[in-house]
Amino acid sequence: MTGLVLVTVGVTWLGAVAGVAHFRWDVLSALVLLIVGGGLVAGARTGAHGGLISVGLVLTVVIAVVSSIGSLADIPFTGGFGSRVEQPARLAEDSAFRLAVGELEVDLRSAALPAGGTALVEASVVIGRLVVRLPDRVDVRVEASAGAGTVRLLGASDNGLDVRLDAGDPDAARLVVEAEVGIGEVVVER
Amino acid sequence: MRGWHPGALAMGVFFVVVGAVFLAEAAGVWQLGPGQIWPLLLIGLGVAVLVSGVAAGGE
Repeated sequence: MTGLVLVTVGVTWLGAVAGVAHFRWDVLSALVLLIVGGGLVAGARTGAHGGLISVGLVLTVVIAVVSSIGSLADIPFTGGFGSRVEQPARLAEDSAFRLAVGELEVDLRSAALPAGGTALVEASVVIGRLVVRLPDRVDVRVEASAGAGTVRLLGASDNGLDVRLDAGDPDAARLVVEAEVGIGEVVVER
Repeated sequence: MRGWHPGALAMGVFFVVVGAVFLAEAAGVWQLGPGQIWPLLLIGLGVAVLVSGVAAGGE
C-alpha cells in the first residue's frame, strides 16, 4: 500500500510538473491524503502500516503549512525545476511565465507591447527566486507578493509571511505585472 | 475489533477527515484561518489517539 501511494504521488506530481495535466497543488495533496486514509482504513485488518501512517503525517503537516501560508496554494505548481531566463520579443495581452522550483528571470526590457492595448504578465515561482526586469519609459503597474519570504519592488522591500507590495497607477499602466513567489524572494527592478 | 489494528484504523479515519476538510477548503466551501488549522489538527490527532486507545482496550 505504501509503495502504491508513493508511485501514485510521484506519477501525478511528474505529470503536473511536465505540464501533461494541470492539478492544483492544494486539491492534489488533499486527495492524496484521502487515499492514504482510505488505504489505512481498508488495510487496518492486515497490519499496522507504519510507513503509510508516516506518509500521512508528513502530508498532513505539509498541507497545513501550505494552507497557513495562504497564497502558496494559489500558485500553479507548473513550469518545472531549475534555473530559467525568459526574454519575450513581444507580449500578448495575457502572458504567463511559471516555474515550480528554482530561479526564474523574466526580462521584459526589450519586449514589444500589444498595439493600443495593455499587456498583463503573470510570473510565478512556487519555491525559489523570481526576478522581473521592467522596460524603461513604459507606465507599469506591479503587484508583487510572497507567501513566505522577501519582496523587493523598485527600491522598496519587505519580508515575512504574506508579503505584498505594489507600485504604479493601474489606470495609466500599459504593462501590468503580477509577480508571485510561494516561498522565496521576488525582485522587480528596471 | 478483534483482528483490527486500532492505530492504523484511527489514523486512517483521521487522515480521511483531514483530507476532506482541506479538500472542502480548496473547493471554497469554507476558509480556514492560519490560527485555526493547527489547533484543529491537534484536536483531531488527540481524538485519533483516544479512539485508538479505546479500541485497543476493547480487544
